[in-house]
Amino acid sequence: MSEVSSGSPQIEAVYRSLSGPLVRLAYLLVGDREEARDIVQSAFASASRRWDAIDDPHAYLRRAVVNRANDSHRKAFRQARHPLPVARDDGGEPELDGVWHFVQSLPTAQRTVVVLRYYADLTLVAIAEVIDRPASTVRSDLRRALINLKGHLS
Amino acid sequence: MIDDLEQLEETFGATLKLALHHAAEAVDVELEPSEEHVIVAVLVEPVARPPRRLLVVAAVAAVLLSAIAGTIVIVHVRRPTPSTHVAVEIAPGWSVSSEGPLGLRTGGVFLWDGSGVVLWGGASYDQTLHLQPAAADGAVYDAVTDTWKIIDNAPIAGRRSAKAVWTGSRVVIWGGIDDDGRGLHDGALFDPSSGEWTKMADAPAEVSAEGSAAVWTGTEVLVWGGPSGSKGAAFDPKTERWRLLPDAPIVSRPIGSATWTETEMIVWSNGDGAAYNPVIGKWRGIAPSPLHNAQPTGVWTGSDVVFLGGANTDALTESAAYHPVTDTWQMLASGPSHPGLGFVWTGTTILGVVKGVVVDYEPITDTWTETDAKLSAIPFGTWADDRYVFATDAGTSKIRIAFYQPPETIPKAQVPTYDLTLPSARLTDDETGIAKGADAALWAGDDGTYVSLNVIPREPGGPKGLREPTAQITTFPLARGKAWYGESATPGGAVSSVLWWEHPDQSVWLMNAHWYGASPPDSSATRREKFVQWAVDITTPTESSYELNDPGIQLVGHERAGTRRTRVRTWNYAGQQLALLVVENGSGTEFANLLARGKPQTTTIQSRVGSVVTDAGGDITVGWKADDLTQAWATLSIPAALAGQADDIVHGLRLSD
Repeated sequence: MSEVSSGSPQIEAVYRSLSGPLVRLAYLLVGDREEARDIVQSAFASASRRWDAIDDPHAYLRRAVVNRANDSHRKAFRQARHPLPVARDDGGEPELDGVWHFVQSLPTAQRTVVVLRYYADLTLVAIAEVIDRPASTVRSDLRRALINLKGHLS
Repeated sequence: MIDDLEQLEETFGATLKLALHHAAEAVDVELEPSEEHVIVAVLVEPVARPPRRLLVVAAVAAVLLSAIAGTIVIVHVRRPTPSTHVAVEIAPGWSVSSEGPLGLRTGGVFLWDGSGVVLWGGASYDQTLHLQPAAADGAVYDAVTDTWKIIDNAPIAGRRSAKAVWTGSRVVIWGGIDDDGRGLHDGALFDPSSGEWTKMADAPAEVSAEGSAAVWTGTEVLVWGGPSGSKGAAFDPKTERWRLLPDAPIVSRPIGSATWTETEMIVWSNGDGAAYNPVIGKWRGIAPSPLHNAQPTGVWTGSDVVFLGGANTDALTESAAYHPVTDTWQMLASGPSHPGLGFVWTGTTILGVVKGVVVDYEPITDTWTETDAKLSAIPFGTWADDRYVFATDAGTSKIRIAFYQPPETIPKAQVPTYDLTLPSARLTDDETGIAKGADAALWAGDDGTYVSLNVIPREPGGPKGLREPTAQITTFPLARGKAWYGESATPGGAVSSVLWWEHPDQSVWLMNAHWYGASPPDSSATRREKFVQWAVDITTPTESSYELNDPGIQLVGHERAGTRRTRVRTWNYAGQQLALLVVENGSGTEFANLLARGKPQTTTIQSRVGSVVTDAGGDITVGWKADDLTQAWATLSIPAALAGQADDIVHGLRLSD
């Protein structure tokens, strides 16, 4: 029987390291735990096909997760007109939960920028690279999101 | 200005950061089975009792694993299996080897050699996940003793994505890319039993090391694919020489996989493909596909190449099976709308992993089933015996080999039944397999002749479901038993020869040849003489292999017929015997050779009919792709006395699951 070499064992180590943070990132982008896990699994599955061509798995996977989350987010709006999932009240921090609920209500572009900026700690330039949009647009989206938050809190 | 971005960030940034981290922390991240529902550590009961030192190693590994998992250790005794894997079971279905001497690497060779794993090359990531230089060393894991051995550095530079095939005695490693992503044309052979390396000749420069795929044919490594203009090539480990393949009828392109069907290498991507037969040294184009996936994974099921997924699709909603004998495609039922990984053929089904769940595709029923089995780890590796084999590091810096045996609860297709609705047709026999222990071998000649041999032990009276040739061979050596010969024209102008032979040991050997090459013998007498000589010359060096002493004929495939899902039913009707032979889920090549090589011809007998063969005595054999049984082939042998009723008989036959 012949066996042909397949796959890259190392992806499993990367999966182990990054899947947790990526699931959390996806959750912040889509607001649904199961959906977040699906997104991360899909991102790894796609990455696996071109693993050897990926120099920076973290950046690649983060970008894949963000793109998939945005697609999922937009699809939810377009197809089902679903209201954004409301985060569970995990108790303890009503003010923080209120801000989190507000973030979930933001339009996809603003929400993505907010999450990448304040959860992933990316610069505006780095965010622009991740979502493949001009830095000026990122800056504008972030500003609008913060103005909205200001209105929400007042 | 208060709405200045910097000012806004200063005012609200900290709150947002806190809120998002607070929300993220609420997410339960359940990633690994070892974190979810493990964990046990017990010694496997192997077929061969392990040495005491192995028990110690396994116990240490068990303790280590439980420490890693940080959960309660529950004892679970794994049932003995016929396999020889010795590993520590950490959860039902899961077992993990002792710790290896290397870390996990990307793009390394990972090969199952029948009793263990050969790992070589590849590169590691540092803590910031940046790729390190590729290594030229490796290790061998022995699954029988659960031990590791470091192998010497190869005589070639370290690399990623080398093509590697197991020849049965050595690993052939060729090509790949260096640290700068440049293709490499050198390679080496590694013998795991001796640990010795042999550098091999460089491949011709026209062969692409990138975007190509390799298969092992039993005698050669075939490489094809890569950017437009690339050439395919074959490497023979015995002569250690390369030869360029003729140009394929399609433009070279990067391919996800090449698939060996026991007679041909099938390459397909982006809508079209081709098949290369190394025995006759020719390519043929394959029928246009309903699929348009780029670089899909091809899985050979014994009768079809099933193409799944691809670089331009994330879903299994569109997959198709290519049947090389009939050169036809069939779209498969829509699978999960998520990408899958680790697709393997288990002998009866295709297993893969979708969203961490093991899914099962059953070709006979054309159904996808989501099983209860979870496999959060990604099974990059292979399938051996009855389980996935892949590399893991169990959260440490050292590699382990993980074995995952899916539960036996995966539903299997129901056994089909066949009914003949003709009045007075009476079922007389029904069995699975032509006979238990039956063997089949297939040879191919340079002139395009195909010879298949079926050995059916202890079935005096002839193999069921196959016509008995009527002309006894008087020149057949007595020591070889008695033989009968017959031949007939087959659709497309080829000639079919059948030799039925009762061996003195009571085994029945059935040989069948189709002469459709460039220069088949042009007279019946010559064909018979040659065919009888082949039968006389066949030797059996070992229990399950056959040799044909003709330099123009090469063995291209061998399998135990009993492993195929072959079913035979026989009816008595109007004083005659009707024999139906159904090959479920494949066994395509030899079976098709029994009837007619090449594309079946549509005839006037029912829409289900693929081919009709009439022999000199007027008996006919009707063969068709059984649309009423998915992925099945059927032939019905109808005696000459009933030939006039063939329409009714075929019409009256119902095949159902």
